[in-house]
Amino acid sequence: MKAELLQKFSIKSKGGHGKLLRLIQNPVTDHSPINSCKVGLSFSSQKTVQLRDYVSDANCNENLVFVVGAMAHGKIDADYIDDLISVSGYPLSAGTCLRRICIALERNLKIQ
Amino acid sequence: MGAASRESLFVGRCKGCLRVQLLRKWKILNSDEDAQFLLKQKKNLNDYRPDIIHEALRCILDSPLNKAGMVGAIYVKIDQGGMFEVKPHVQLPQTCSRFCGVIMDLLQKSLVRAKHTNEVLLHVVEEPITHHLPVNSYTVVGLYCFKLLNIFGIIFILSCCGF
Repeated sequence: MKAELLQKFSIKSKGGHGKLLRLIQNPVTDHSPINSCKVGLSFSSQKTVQLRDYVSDANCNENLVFVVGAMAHGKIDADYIDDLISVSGYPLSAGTCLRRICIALERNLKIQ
Repeated sequence: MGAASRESLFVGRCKGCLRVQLLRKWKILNSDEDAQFLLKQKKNLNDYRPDIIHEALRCILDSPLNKAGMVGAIYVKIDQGGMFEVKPHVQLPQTCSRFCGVIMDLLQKSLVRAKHTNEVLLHVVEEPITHHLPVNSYTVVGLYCFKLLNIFGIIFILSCCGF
């Protein structure tokens, strides 16, 4: 499916109700919300936060954009990041990190 | 997980002539790769999902709880009988096919050792599970889907010293 996406630039649903995956143009900042706070996550960051408190302390009218690296090694090198935080004392895989972000957002939004 | 005898082709070249040798080896059945074989045997495809076990094990092993040393042991029960123990400090392969290779090695030799330190990382243990639980343990069964998995459940035991 990923190869088909790169070849045909989009993945359509079977019933024809629109596109499910679409190739978009660089840079990624063109697709961010206007009033957004871009948060990078890295183990090597000096700023260690409790993610639940960080999410609840954010402004209500500010959209949160999380930038998570896919690889376990290396660091995110992106100049559009406003804040770089570390959410755990241990290096996490991308899946574990994304699970933590989802859980923190769920608790902040009172989703059961 | 089901282990079945399966044939694979090995083509070798010997002094300019082509030779086909049939190899017979064991394999962990997968609903994606072995769909035709399973359908021919009238098996239910949803019962053969080693990728779910792999994902569940990676979820436990990659968690900060395990990195902090608070996971005591992980036991996986096999549908065809038997059970194996996973040490918390193991590093499982990240892809499902290599994970199936490790489990196949485990089922054939009853244990998997580390390459350099010769430490036993995975080994087959005897049933029932209650023999391996701590004395004052409280068992919570959270993953018990009879039909969804060919593995009955995953029980991981937290170390008592942290609480």
